Amino acid sequence: MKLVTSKFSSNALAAILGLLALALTAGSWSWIQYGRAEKADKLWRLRQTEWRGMQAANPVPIESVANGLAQQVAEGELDLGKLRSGLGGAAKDPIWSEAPPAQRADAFFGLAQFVEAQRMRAQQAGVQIPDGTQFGFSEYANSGPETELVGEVFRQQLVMDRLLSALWRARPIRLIRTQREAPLTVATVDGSQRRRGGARDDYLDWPNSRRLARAGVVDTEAFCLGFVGQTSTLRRFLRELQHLDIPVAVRQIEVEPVGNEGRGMGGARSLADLFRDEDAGSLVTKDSETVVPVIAVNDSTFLVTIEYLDFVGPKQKRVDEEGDEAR
Amino acid sequence: MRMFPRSKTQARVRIVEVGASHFAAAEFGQSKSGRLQWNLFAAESFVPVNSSDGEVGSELAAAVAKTVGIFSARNVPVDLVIPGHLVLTKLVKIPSVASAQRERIIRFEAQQSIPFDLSEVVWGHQVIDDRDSELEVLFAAVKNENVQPYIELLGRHGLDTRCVRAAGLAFTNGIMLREGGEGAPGMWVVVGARSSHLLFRQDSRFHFRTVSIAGNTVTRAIADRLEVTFSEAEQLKLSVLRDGLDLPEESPVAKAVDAAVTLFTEKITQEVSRSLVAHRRRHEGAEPTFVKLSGGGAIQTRLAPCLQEALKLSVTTDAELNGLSFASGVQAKVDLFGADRLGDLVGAVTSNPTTSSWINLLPTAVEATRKARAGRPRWLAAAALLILALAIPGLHYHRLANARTQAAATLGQRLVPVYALRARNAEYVERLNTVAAEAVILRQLGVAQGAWPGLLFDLQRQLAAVQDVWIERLLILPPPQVVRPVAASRRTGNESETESELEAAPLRLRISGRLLDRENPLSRVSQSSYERVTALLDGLVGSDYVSAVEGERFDSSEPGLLRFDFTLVTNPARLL
Repeated sequence: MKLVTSKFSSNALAAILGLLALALTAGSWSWIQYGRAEKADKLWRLRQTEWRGMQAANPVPIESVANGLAQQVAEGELDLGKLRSGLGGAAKDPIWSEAPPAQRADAFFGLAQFVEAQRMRAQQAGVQIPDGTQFGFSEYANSGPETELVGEVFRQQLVMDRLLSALWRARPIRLIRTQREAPLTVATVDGSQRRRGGARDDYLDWPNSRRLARAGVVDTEAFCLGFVGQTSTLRRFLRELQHLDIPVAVRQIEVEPVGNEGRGMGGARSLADLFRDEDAGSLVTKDSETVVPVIAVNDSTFLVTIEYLDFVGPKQKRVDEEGDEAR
Repeated sequence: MRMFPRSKTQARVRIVEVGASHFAAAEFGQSKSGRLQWNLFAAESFVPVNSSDGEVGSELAAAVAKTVGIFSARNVPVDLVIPGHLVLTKLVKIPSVASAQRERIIRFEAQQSIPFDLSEVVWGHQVIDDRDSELEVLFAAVKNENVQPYIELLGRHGLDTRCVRAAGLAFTNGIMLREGGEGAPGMWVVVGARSSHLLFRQDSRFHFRTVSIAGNTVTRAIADRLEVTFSEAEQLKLSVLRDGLDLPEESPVAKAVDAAVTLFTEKITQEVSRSLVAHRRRHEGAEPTFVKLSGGGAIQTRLAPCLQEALKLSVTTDAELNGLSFASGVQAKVDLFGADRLGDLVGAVTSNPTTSSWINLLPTAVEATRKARAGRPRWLAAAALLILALAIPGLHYHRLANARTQAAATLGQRLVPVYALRARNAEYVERLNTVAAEAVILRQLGVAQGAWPGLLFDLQRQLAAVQDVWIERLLILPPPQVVRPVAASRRTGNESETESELEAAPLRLRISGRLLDRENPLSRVSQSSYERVTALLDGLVGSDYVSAVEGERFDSSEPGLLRFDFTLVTNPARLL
């Protein structure tokens, strides 16, 4: 009897434990499934929200809209090309096509050859040039630019070469000034301090407020050419600039008569005051009538500031930056 | 014969009877007419060899193994009939009290009447008579150790014991149910192998007595006389008395059997007579009108005449199975075995185990186990329901999770090209914005590129319109300096001085020139000069490149020649 009872008890105990284990398993499984369902439901709702967000997105992410946008981009880039070509210059900027010298010595000899060539052309065009002029590159009369400046100086040389060529063709009487911007060194990249070696007159201070440079689109390099000539000389020079193979913009023109012909305006009055005096009946004396009011056609000094529009540099910089980010 | 079906689902009743020298198994059912039908039957007789009470001998085990095979389905419980000699029966009278106290008194009387510790026995009682101020209660008890081996033996064969009946009591129950409370008073003498039962029935009351004079009394006498083993004597007895073996009258065996039967007949007759007298005296019973003999031990033909002579009553053999229908082949088996030996088995089948009026000697522990086992399906169902209740939400969430995951994956797949398109669109929009911004810049550059030539052209046009006028000097004036307080963010440390800051301003061009007055060469200022210089200034103001003309100064010190000097303020929109 005890055996039966104990057997029953152990069986019952085993059954209860088994039941508890099964119930625990079933409950745990249900709880796990509940958790799974919650996660799946959240994910599903998230997807639905994303889907609704996509439906409400602007522009709508459908193939036709994407194709339309692609078409607009293509048309916009076509317009950009037209606008760019409207600014003059060759389709491929020659300033960036030529490889800069690899060594300082190469740059020095390149600059020396440039100076010699310009002297020769000036002589051929009958243009007087200042004695010993280095055409803005006097700093490098005896040595080439620093290694980090070789490229920039080389490009300045190429631009100056084209500007002077245009000037020679305009046949001024005399060249009086060739200025370029001081190149940025690595240490003075903020522009606050530019390197200014050589002659002081070689360098042009061109304020940023006047600069046409726009970040990411166009960089500019300013140059100033001064020459003596007449109005026709200026006109020819401006016409020659339009036919250069690089895009440039005339940014400033200053004119002064040669000599002291344009004297000071001491004793000048306003127009009303002037004619009020006339009303007072002041007459011109006879002596004064003897003065012949003829002004001879005089030569003038022209200072023309030009900005070279560099569209390649910003793109190159952007590519370099993207490459750095990718690395 | 009536049947008391247990329930519709318990239409089948299985009875197994363990006798002192036989084992019988039967299954009863209900015929279509509602009568009790004997469906299955198998029985084995054996001669017990040296087995004590309650001990399962090998002969019994073999008989069980041979017979229980008739039960194909083992899920139907069986009613066990145990040998009468294992059961102590006692009839006692107790005062008739309220039913609330009756159980206590009955238990007290049981403790007094049963010569064993009640914890060692299985006992039950049955109220025989409750008509007067006294109760007649029949106690029956069997030691646990005597009944448990049979239950375990059946259990080993997959049979679940539902209730345990004592052999004589089962027979009594059958008689009482068969006869009911009708008919004349009668007496039944059931002669078993190891005990005999005397049953007195009057109306619905009965008195019951067990005596130890039985068939084995004959066997033992033969064995003693012939000095043979009990088994050999039993074989001799059965051969002569049951099988009708004809022996010479002078043979020792015949003489021994005859002497044994005579001795048994005398003893049982004396016992019956004494019991009858006691019945009349103690129980004030009426005189029985008949005596019926039953049981395997009543096979000798001399018992009935002897009893009839002694008791002066009609004595017949009771082997009635009236009211029973038999399945095919069952009756032949019953007849072969001997219907008079199956009174207890048939009596047990008519007992209703669902009522407490019939004594059930099933041990309490076994009954508890049975109840627990019977309740197990409910527990299992409850457990299954519990597990199902816990698992069903999981199933729901499992399906929900799968559906949501699938839906999210599908939606995610649909989103992939949409995201790609959105990224493409974003790139296009960004590119469009860039292109538009660049276009604006390029247009501005175009404007700036044509600014100075345009200004010079306008100047030339105005000079040509006025005639006899020259420009001698064109200078760029420095922009005006505006002194304003330094913004707080520009201050550093203790500095408090102000700094001047150059503001972007329109270009200011100082122009100097001369105007020749040909019509009035001697006049310093003529009306004509006035009109011409006014036209020149007005014309310049009208230029797109000029926003204002200011600071005009004139020098008329030379007759016929007017020197002028003014400042052109350029139009900022023309990007000069």
